[in-house]
Amino acid sequence: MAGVVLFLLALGYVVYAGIRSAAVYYVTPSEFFDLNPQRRTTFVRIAGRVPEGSIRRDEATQTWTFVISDGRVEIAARYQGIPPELFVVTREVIAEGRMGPDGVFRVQTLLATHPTEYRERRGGGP
Amino acid sequence: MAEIGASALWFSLGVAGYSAILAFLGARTGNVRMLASARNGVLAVAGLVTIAVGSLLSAFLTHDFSLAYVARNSSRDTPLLYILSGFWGAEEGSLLFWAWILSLFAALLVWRQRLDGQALLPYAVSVLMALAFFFLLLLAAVESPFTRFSVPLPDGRGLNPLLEDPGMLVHPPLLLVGYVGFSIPYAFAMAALLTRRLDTTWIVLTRRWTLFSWYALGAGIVAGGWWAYRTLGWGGYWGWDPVENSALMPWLVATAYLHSVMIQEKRDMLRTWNVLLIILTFTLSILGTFLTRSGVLVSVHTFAQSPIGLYFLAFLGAVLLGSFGLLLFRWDDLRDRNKLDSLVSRESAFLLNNLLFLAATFVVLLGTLFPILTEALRGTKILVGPPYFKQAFAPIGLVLLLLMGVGPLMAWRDSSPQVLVRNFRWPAVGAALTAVLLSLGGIRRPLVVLALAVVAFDLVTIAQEFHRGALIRVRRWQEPYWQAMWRITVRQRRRYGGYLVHLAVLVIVVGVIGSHAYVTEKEATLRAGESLHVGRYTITFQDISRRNTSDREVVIATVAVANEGHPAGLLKPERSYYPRYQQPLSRPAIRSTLREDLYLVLTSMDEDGRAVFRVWVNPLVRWIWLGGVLFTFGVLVAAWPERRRALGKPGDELVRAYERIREIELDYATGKLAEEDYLRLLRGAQRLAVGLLRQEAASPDSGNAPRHEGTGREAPGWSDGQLP
Repeated sequence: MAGVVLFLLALGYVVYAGIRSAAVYYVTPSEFFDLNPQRRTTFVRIAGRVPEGSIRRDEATQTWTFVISDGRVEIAARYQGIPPELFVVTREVIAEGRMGPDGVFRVQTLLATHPTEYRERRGGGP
Repeated sequence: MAEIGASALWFSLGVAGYSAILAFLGARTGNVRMLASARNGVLAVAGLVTIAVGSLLSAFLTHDFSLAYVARNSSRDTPLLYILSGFWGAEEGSLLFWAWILSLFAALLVWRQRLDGQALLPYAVSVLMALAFFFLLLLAAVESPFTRFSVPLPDGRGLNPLLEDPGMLVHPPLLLVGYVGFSIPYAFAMAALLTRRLDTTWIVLTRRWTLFSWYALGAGIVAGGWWAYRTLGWGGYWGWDPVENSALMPWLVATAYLHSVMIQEKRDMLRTWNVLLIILTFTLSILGTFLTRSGVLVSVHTFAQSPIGLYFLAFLGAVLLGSFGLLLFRWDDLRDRNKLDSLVSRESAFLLNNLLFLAATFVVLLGTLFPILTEALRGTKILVGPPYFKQAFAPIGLVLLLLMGVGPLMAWRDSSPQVLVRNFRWPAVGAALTAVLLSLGGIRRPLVVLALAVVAFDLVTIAQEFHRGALIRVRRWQEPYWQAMWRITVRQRRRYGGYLVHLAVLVIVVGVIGSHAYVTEKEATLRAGESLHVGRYTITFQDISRRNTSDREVVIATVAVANEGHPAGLLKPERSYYPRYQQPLSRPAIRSTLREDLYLVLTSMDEDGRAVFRVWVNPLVRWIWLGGVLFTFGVLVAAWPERRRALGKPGDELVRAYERIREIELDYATGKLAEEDYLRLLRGAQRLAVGLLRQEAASPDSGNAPRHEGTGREAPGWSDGQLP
């Protein structure tokens, strides 16, 4: 019996520690601003649409700036590195990163989604 | 043609319902005609669903783009072979495949036997037909693959280019066969509950089905990794994606089940537990089908819009409620005949193994459903990505890995200290030696060293088991060593096949450790003639060529590889653009050796001829695929039918008495039993066997009993026929 309790405690700890270190809020731009202000500076994942024509690319620094929108709220975002191929073609993205003090979302990981599947691309870095 | 398929589905739906009811009623009342009719129904369902499958396939082959499913999943350009991946690549087709396999399995089950005179089979058939009814209902009424467009398209949209890969020819069918296959042991478990025949009969009858399904699912998972690695171009093979997880979960529980049934067979313990595990395996298979097909993972809200989501949820609820309700009703019949004798025994090692497999399943389940749970409970989705899975899975996996070595060294019932010392000595030495060698060789990351030391422990355990088994035959029969090892393996297939599967898992684990702990990744923009250094390799971008086919525009980069300065051939990563699909796709070029893979992706090209490459050096990945091959071999050895000489059919008490003696001898010889335990157990088993023999000699029908043809019966003990 004591063994089972010990086992469950260990399992609980492993799961808890895992979730603590890996939990990421997954929000739309509107939901992002509904978050508790403290949460807004943590690592989050934002899903939305990139409005046509909002993508700008700086050749020298390999920096991309664009807007993530859900039709109601827009978030300015910046990504350094080479974006996934689908980024240019479809305009649905999932961006993982942190909001900067200047109100520009620093994207660490950019996933371009496709109606049926997504492909991952890690790059850039903070 | 499509009308034929659609009507075949409706007919099969009716017949499946009819057979489910008749098999049940016939078994209840013992009505032979009802049972015969139910059996015919099962065969008819298989025939009708096969007609539907044939009709859909012919629609694919004749490019009948008036069918929505065909138009969305193929085009005139789709190569013939990949028509198949279009067939099972999307929702309706894979449901049809599910129903088809289920109906074929059910037909196979009743093919050579009648339903009357059997205790479990009619009920199992009834359960299977009820399951088929559900899937056929979805197919006929809700998500028909034969739905027509009101305005036919001139040409199909084409197969998703990602699915045009040999991996996609084997991966989905293997997974689906695995999922569906578990419905057979599940159906028999339900039959056992219904009839209160809760001894090992249902387990023994379905042993091969379980092993087969478990194998198919496991192989499907490896094949999926292989496909992802070769196709997706992100340098890895496993991303803890919900779709991958939903195949992993039933596999983990089924692995627990495969181990725990051994305890029930040997010691008649854990009856409830085994029923529970098979229910869980089956419901997780359903959940797997459901998660990948309902869209629930995108959001709880889209799930309500998906037509089949609610059906699946209701079905899952009915299966869970029905199974667990029945389990509770039969709680008293499930009481075990034996108790755990000691904490230091094979049984408790198995129990711990079971708990850990369930814990691992829980970790995966929680992580997979976490966004749904948090969205439902708190309104915001919270994801846990690969870091969560890695962090939570690793400790559980490590202990499981250790148990894989420790379990086989433990004796049944109780392990005395002398036995433990004798058995653990060499594996422990192997582990220590490995740790020392690794740190001398420069591999010092504590977790990696620990994990590899445990792997070494397990390897020595397996080697020791084979060695000791062979030595028995060498001593008794003066056989040459390797011949003895071969013979002991084929004579004790389940045991040694199992060890081969363990070996395969170890090979895979080594690959996983290597490719997780020591990856090198680089990205660079190169002009023709420029080079990049990655690890021991130098890659030089030579030139670009272009090729256009009817469905895609392909850019091929030619890259020269040098390994520590020596030319090592060319790699040609491709990047294709599919105008119809509006999708670019980079296909990596991989230079694979046992030591490491050089994995090269052409990410993009710009107008001035500069190419962006991403390069990975992934150590030991090839071991994973090799492990998959070895896994197949081990399962084949374990499942190969055993020839039984001069013995009755399985389940016969005498057979079991003989098997018991063999076991005891083998356990003693491989150091799993202390001297006095051995003598005590052996005497007991021999007494039992002799008693049974006398009984049989005295019984009137023994003179012309046909079931023991061939050589006469020898006294129990050592003889060639019964040698382990």
